[in-house]
Amino acid sequence: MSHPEQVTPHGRILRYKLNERLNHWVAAASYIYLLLTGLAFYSPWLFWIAAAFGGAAVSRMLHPWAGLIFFGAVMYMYKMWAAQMRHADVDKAWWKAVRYYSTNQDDKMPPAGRYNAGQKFLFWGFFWCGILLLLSGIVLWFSEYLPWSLRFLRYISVIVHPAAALLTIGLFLIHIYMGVFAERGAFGSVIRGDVSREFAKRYHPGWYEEIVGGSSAPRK
Amino acid sequence: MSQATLRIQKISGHAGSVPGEDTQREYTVCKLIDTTTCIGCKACEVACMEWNDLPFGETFFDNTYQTMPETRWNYWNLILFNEHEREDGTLMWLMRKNQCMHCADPGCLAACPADGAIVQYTNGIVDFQQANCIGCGYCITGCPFDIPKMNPKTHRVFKCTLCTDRVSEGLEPACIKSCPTGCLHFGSKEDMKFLAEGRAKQLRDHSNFPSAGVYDPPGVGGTGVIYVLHDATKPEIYGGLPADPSIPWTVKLWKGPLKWLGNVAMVGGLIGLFVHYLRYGPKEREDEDISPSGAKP
Amino acid sequence: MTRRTRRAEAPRLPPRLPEKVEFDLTLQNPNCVFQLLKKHYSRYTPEMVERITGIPKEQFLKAADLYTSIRKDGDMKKAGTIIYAVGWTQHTFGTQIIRTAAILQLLLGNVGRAGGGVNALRGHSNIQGATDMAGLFDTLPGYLKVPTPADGSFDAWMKRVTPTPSKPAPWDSFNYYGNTPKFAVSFLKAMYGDAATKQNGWAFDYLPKVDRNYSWVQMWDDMYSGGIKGMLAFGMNGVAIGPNSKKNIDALKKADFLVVGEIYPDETSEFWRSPGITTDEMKQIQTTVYRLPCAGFAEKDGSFTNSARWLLWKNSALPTPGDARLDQAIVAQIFLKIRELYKKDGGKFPDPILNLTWNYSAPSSPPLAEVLKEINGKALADLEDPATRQQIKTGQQLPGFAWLKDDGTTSCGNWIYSGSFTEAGNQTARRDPSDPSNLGIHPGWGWSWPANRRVLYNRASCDADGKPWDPTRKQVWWNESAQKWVGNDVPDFKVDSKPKDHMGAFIMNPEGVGRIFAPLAAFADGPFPEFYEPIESPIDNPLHPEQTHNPVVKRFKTPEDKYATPKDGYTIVCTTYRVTEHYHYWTKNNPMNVQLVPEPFVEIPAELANDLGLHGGEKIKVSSIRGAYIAKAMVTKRIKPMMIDGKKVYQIGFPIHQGYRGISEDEGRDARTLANLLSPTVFDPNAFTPEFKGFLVKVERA
Repeated sequence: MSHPEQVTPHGRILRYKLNERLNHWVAAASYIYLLLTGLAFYSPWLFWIAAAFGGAAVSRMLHPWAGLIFFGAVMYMYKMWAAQMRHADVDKAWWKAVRYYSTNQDDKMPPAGRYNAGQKFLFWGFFWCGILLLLSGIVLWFSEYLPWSLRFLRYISVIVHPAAALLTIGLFLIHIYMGVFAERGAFGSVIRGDVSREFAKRYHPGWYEEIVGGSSAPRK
Repeated sequence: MSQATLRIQKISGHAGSVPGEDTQREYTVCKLIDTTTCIGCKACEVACMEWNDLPFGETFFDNTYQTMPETRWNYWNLILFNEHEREDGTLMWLMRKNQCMHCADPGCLAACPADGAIVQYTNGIVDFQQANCIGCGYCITGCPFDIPKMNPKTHRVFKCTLCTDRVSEGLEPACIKSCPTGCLHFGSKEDMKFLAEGRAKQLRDHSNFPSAGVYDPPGVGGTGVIYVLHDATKPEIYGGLPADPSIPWTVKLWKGPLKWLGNVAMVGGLIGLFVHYLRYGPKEREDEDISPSGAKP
Repeated sequence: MTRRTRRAEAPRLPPRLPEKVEFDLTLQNPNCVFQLLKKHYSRYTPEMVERITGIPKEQFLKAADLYTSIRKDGDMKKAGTIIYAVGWTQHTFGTQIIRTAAILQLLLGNVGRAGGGVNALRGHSNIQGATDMAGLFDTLPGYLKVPTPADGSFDAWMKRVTPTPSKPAPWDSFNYYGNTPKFAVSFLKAMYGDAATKQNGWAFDYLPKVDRNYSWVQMWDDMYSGGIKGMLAFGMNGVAIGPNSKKNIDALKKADFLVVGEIYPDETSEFWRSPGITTDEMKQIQTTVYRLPCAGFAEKDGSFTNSARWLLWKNSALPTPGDARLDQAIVAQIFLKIRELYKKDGGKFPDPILNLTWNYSAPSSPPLAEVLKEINGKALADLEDPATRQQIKTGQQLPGFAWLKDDGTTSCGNWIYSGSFTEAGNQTARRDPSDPSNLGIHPGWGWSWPANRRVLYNRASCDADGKPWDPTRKQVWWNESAQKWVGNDVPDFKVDSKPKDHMGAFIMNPEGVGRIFAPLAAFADGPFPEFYEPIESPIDNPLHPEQTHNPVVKRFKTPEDKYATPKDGYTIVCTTYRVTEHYHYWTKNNPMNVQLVPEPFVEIPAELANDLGLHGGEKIKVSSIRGAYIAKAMVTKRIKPMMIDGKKVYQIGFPIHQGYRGISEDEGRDARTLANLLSPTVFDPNAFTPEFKGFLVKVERA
């Protein structure tokens, strides 16, 4: 075994350590707050959400701070996982076979590493959108301090911010769907941290081999 | 109060219809500012401060008679002074009373996400309701005239109200009342346009201002505040009055196509994922043996 | 400290006018006024105008053509007006500038016309009222001429100041000032009541005899020389007003007492700690300063008289705060106390004080409506008008000055205000805005003197036959069937004088005509205006370089009275003025005004700033030979250099409003200098207005 410490006493595989899980939930909580208040600012039909969260003016005041927290969490993820998220050859093949993945024919998928191509897409999606949201968010946060001569920054930001937010919402919907409904066991991985061997073998065979060791696993 | 809400024809950030649409026979009001007879005495600045009980702010000398560089959250009405040299070498000292233009199609209202923070009355007055303002500053982005100003402490925006409290009692705005030269007029949009066009013609016919005209920009649907300018072909010389103002296209894009696209995408996405689950269900139960076909043990 | 008092001055003798005057309607006689006028101004060519003023000849001719175009082809329908303010009067030849405007308007036939005339924009809301009520030393209310020591009796005084007609024999002349004795007697009856009798010349001895010039600048010089012991300054910031503020401050140091009635501590009341005074100096100042808290304008009622001569009653909006008192209460308290002292202790001649009428319902704070009634005048006996049979009972208010008598049966505090508070009530409180003739007359809005006439000399708005020059704008006209003058305005004329009797429209002049030529002694300087440079000028007078300045201007001789020439290094012309955002010296205590204009500034031409390497906002020092003013520079293109007599001359200017006490000043935000540290102690020889509007300075970085 290459990483015996990642095998739990019950024979399960530790996928996410405590710091990773904590960071995930900091990101999740802040994102959900950003999503709800953001949707309230986005649509009059949902404006009541901001009112429900302590008042609309309070929501507006806290939204950017939650944004900073979220951005911090995303940057921590970058620090932890960027190296593992690099595009590899297996990812190209994964995308070519994505119709199997979406119709639950996982046996036809090329062996993914710790993160499959979809998850890498999510990671980079949140990373880049996070940066766009932060930059445009800062302009919108302090828009009254920006001089008239720099107003083009405001005009750009009012498009970039909701557009980037919508992209993250798309990613988020799929992420929730996958993590809560589609992949049984995935949710536990960010609560308890561990997954079953079957889970690991099925969804991340490359990673499973790494952890458990042995050169019997075919490398593609 | 119920009668007051009937006077509202547009509300920012509002889901559903507006109570006051089509309920009133009111005409739109209009403030006419004749820059050619303004002497820059600032009685209108003082009247606005006094009527609205605005607190004083700090000012300092800045090589101009202009009271301060731009309007503030507590200074809604400001005469802009500009020295302009014409082609023939003569110098004009231009004075333009600057305040909210009360656009028929207000950019601030379009951009505002907060329900009821900005309203437009059936008489055309655009009013900020600070109790509903969330301090996001989108109105600042939406306005092509750089008018809304935020109080940094309370995070509410303020601007000229066209003295809606006076107008609803049948009085003219405070600035109009205080003007000693009579360069400010108030009445229906129709009457003010008539006055303004007449004055502009008088200037063209009898004074050395062949390009005198009326400023009532169509790009924002026309404004509740119109100007008579000595030179209507060059509004920028009057302290940066925009020549063809409109709501910034990115704001229109954001509140229009982008919003619809986003709504469709989000709702469609939710529905799509629900349908996917019905069709395909979860990948597998966690504890099932699911050795992939072709995988070596 | 020795006290120097000035010698008395001989009074200016009245104009000597012949009873009969020749006339020539063809205007060809070489001695007629028109020919003398032409001869006098033949030197005033457009080229000379350009040389003296710097206005390019073409521009001057364009303006002249535009203004005189109203009389193109002899068209008499239009009227042109001349409106001016202190830019004209605050010069050592200010009166002559006004005279020039009057001559121009008379030549153009603009006098007496609606939309015509020579119109002063007075500088305070009630300065017209102040001068009407004899705020000047050389007049009594209604501009009656004061008696001098040379007037040995009431009759002698009346003989000197009452003009007799001086006109062509076939013409009528109203010579309304011929009624001066009626005005004077009625005034004295108002002042001294029963103590004024025919036997004692209507208490003529009670009136002070004005023996010398007691005008503003002269008074401060007297105080400086020790001749004046003390001063009561009510709403009058003498130190800031100047001219030559330093001299005024030094004058106050020598006075025994100073009473300042104001609504805030002004520079005058703080003269003893003005910038530059050391603590040692302060200890040596022996002047006792009293500060009386007064009411502000919103706390006072009473009448204001505006530039159009309209008396307008105002009500007070607020009660006075704290210990502040109304002006009449303060004056009453002082008067009653002095009267009490004189009653108790006697004195050299207490009669004028003891016999002054003071019959108000509240003597310690006379209601101003009662004072206005007293000014309007009332009948002291039953009166009847023989022509109309109208009767007035004893004690009733007079309808107007036509009822005034010189036999002691009428009293009237100010003849020109008679008619302002009649039996019908307080006419000045009327607020009927209607203007039926559409001429801006508004006859029911307030009450204008004289007799509610809105345009003076309005008979001149008609031709010789009494038909209005402009039939679409009829002010007054001769009604043939009624055989009298009628109109939309009150006719300023003898109502039943037929046009064929050729009465002159200018009824207040003994000649009956407008004075294009001013009779000798009417003015201190001359009958025709002549151009002179200000006392401090960058050039010699091109018209006569050997006499550049007004020859009858007085220069003062104390060490503080210095007058510069360009050779002394002062080559830039400086002028002072006011801004709309401040009102003289008190609004710098009001946060609103200070917000509008927070700091003192000096406006300088962009070219001058370039020459001196100065930028807008930089602190600069402007000095005259008398003092220095420090403020920030406002660099502007609006003021351009001028070519005066071939020399490039710069002009700068700055507002007068700041000083050494106010919101910004107390916060130490500016240099606390006064504008009038710079201005010279010279004044117009007729109106005594100081020359604030043009003197020489130099400019440098502070």
